[in-house]
Amino acid sequence: MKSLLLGLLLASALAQDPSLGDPSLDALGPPGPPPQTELQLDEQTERISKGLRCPVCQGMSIADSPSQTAVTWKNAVRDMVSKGYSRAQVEQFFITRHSEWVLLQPPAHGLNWLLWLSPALVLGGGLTLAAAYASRWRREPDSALPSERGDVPKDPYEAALLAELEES
Amino acid sequence: MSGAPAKRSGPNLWILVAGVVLIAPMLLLFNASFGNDPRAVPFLMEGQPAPEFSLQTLDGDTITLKSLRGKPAIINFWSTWCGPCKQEHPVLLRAPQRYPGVTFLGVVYQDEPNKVRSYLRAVGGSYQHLIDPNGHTAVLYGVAGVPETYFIDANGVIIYKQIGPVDDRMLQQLVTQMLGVQ
Repeated sequence: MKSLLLGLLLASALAQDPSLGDPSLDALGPPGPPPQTELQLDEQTERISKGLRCPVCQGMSIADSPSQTAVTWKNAVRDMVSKGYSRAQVEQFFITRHSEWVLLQPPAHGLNWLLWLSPALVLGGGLTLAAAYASRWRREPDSALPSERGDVPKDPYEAALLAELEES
Repeated sequence: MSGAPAKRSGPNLWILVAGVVLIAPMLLLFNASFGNDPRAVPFLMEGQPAPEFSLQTLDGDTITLKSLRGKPAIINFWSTWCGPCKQEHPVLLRAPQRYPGVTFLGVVYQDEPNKVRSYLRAVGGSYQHLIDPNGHTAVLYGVAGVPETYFIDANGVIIYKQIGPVDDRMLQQLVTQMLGVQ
């Protein structure tokens, strides 16, 4: 009964708002069933809003920003959710206007894979290099003098010292 | 004691290649982003049909986008609390007289109708201003702040969005373009 009342209230609110019947929402495809309770509506709105970038803030979601623009966008999200649009549809609505920039978490496709994979690549590359160096150090214990390895020409004093040592 | 000098390992080519492979894509990404204004909000609706709206004027009349078809329109989203909006107001105030072939409309963004009426009484108004009570029309149009001005051709297609105040020269260029399309 409660959900029926909520549904009626939502339907009446939508009927009173002349700006909600825009055909651009039709491009998102048919909406699904709307949330059954106010709590579900709030939770879904919050979840979607957390992923949408506030256009007048720095790295903040519209859920976290108190700016008027963020509040307006969040109200629009709530409105779409109340009509049964899914998270993907709501995000698509904003992407068609502002590109994927509007998503705080870039979707994993195309060049975005670089963003997702680069930390793992850098970490993997670093570990591989470290392992390569470690194994080389184990193979080549550095006990010899540089001159013995041939890295530098033998110093005359060193040569004299080595000769004396050999004689004794 | 020491035979032939041990062969010293030269620059490690594979480390160099690995470094380049790892760093090059990131440098490319950085390069693509250099020069971009980090605060700019991308807008993808240029060249697309302007979203339909049905809003009331300050006098209570209803105006729809459909009713504007057949004539280019310039729609300015603004508010009385916005400094740059006040800066561009004189330009827009004289524009309808200079360009009678274009419909000028203001859409009030997050503001109170009474404040807007008082403001227009004080500084003058030469075209209709619409009230967008919950900001839905602004969201539909991809407004990310004010002032923003949409140039819509006679077919209802957005040909340009100006972010920030408009000036006389810009208006002249875009009106000429829009009248050409018509």
